[in-house]
Amino acid sequence: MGDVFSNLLAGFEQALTWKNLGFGFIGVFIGTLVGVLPGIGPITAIALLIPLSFGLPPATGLIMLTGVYYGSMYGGSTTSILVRTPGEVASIVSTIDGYEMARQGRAGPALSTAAIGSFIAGTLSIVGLMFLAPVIAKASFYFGSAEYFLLIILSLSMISSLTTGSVLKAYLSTFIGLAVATIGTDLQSGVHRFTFGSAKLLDGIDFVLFAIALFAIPEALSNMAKKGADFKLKVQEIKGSLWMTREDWKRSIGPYGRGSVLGFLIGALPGIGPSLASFLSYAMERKLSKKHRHEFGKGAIEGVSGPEAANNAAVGGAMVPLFTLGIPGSATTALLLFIFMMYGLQPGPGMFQTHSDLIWAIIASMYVGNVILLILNLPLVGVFASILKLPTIPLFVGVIAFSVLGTYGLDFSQFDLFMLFIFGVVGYGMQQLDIPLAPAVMALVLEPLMEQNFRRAITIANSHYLVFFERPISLIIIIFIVLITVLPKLIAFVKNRAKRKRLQPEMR
Amino acid sequence: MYMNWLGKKGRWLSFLALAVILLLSACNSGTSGSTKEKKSNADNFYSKGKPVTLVAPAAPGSGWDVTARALAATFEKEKLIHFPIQVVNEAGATGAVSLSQLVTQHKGDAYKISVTSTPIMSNYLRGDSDYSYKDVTMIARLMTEYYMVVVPADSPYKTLSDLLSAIKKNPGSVAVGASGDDRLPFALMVNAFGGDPRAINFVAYEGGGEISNALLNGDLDAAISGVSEFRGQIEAGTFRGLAITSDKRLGGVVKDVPTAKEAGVDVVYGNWRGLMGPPDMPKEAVTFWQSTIEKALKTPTWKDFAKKNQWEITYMKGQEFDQYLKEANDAIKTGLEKTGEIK
Repeated sequence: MGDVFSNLLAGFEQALTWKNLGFGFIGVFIGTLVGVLPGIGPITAIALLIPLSFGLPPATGLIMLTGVYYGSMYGGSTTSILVRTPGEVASIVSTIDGYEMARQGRAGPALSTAAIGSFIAGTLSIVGLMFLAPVIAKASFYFGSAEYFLLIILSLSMISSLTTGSVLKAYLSTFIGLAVATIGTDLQSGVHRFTFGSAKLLDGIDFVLFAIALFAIPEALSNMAKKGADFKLKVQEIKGSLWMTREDWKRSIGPYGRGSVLGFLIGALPGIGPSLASFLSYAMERKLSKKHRHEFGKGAIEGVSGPEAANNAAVGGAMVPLFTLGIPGSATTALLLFIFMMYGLQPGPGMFQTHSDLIWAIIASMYVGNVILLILNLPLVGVFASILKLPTIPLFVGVIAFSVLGTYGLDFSQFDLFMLFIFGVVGYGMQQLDIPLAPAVMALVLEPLMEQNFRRAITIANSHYLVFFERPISLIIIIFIVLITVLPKLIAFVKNRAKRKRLQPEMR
Repeated sequence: MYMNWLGKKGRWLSFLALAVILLLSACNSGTSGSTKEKKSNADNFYSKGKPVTLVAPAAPGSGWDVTARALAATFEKEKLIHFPIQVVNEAGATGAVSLSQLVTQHKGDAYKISVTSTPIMSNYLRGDSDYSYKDVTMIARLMTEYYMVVVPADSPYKTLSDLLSAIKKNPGSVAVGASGDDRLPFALMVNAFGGDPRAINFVAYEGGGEISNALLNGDLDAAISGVSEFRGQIEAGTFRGLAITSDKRLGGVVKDVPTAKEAGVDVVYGNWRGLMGPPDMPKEAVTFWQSTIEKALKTPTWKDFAKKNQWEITYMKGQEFDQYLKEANDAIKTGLEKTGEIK
């Protein structure tokens, strides 16, 4: 233990110089800007900055690049909250309660809790990475494709918690997302599905395009189509304080802690990303909340605090397989792996022994990046929140312009704009019919994970379908799914019957 | 009037939008308007400081992307070129989207080059792409990566023939992980051993990281991927290398892993990576890149990249390269036929 601290101290010595802090600020600033613009994700931003970091010493370059990463993750939730446009997968759920809070004039607290939650979870997950990495890496070996598949099924069984309305409509939305996700080349067989012979569809529908089409476009259209949506300056008032109240803090502390633990554990499973972590945290908070459950979907602060903590903790979790096993869990960690290697690090089982200096510099840089994020973004909350002071029409015209620009920026392809139009109309239709949109977008993200792992599990078991019941962890997850989906209904049924029985004698 | 509704914030926003548009158009400028100059003199090529686009036909962080960025960094760091070069990612359909742009939109263009490798052949053979390596100007080969067959350290399969006999006897019982076309060399090995390549129980993954994880958690019995993907695990002793598809043994961490030939299966199969230009690329431009790359591959900067990424530098150009491409194409075709992917 003492070893860890002295190493970390040495790491900080390398990380904490004025030059490093300066580059750290640049990184976080660029990251936040990039996160706010739809279409340019953290991966692109980091890739663009790699040439610049070539000339910098390792600690400086790493602080800048991790700053970009943290900044863009945070920037993504900013647009979720303000204009219901998630910048990246991890901030889908923040479009629900975060956006509702903003509409009630509480954009300030929503943005603040996202920043503070990200900071707390980021810090906790680095601590977890330092002390628990080897144990968690070993535990993750119990999760094979069968368990991955069931984990996604477990999540989908809770998907109706993303909405307040009809459960049937939530599942309808889920199936729309699942259907769209099947477009493209099937990984296991190489067969093209629903591509209509177009090479542009071989890679499927991009998440960013789908999310913009379903969230931003319908919201903009229906706001502008509303009767009385005028061009006059009708300031949307920002009620109360820009900062979190005492009550907000009290309600957020629990979600921060639970979100951090959950996010870290899920992030440590290679291939399962921050999106699932944030979604499960949302579902969990909603189930756990007794006093405020009715507020979920209508602006409950827990619905922002928990998921935002979870998605940041998942980033730290994703470092566990990278540092201990040399396995990148996602495209972003693969890029980080490349950067580490560029600085002479060979991540893998022996990394903590052979390159300890650099490792501790990296961990220290992550701490520093996290602190800079908080320092830079809390003052920006006011600036961002004041964007909502714009009158409806110019604001949403701007949203549409940015959406189109972001979609075009994905691949510089007109085809994408065409797809944006089609799915934008679909999204508008869904919104008019009161079909929730978040389940569809979440399903699009989860479908490939679900399908690939199902088919892997079956192939590996040589088409033996009982495989899911024969593995201990997968059986536990199945029992969990049954408990969550069937038990509440069963209890309600039994209670009802008992009630009726009690009533019947009296009636006689 | 309009400005009035927007107010100060609106002006700031529109300024931001303008800045973004300018930035985006700057990113794209390397690709536009360059065809006009295709007939200029040889001496004029690349002397005016006009930027050249180097395409990575896949997402950032992918093998192609890493190669392109390493190449651009070497050119700049070693001062081999005197004009700006920018790496642009054109992801889509394992390079097929970018290839079709290169062929149809940039004929005769000297300012656009691209990283390429085996999928340019397999995509065409499968019918997933309208164009093949014959439709572009193949400039030079940069490197070759060989494949390694691995099993977990506690696996009952001690040698390649242990593994292949088990597959020959009961293919369903051995789950073999591979991503994309990496399954082809394995199919050729099973074929050479007398097994049925179509019956192999292949499980597809998206990359070496996922495969390593699936070997560690017990999902997979064996796997095949580029040597570099498994290097760390071999070093740590968690995986055992059964065979490498190179002609001679490789050095370093994998020096004890036999070649497939040594292990009794006569299969040599390399995944090459090279540089290509659009169709009808001016001869002078091709020669320029051939000699620049030859110089670049000898610099310490590139050698350092190559060492870290386990790339074997195998520079090749001209007729020799054409001959090699033909042979590589034939090997892929055989592999695809054996696995039953094409007839």
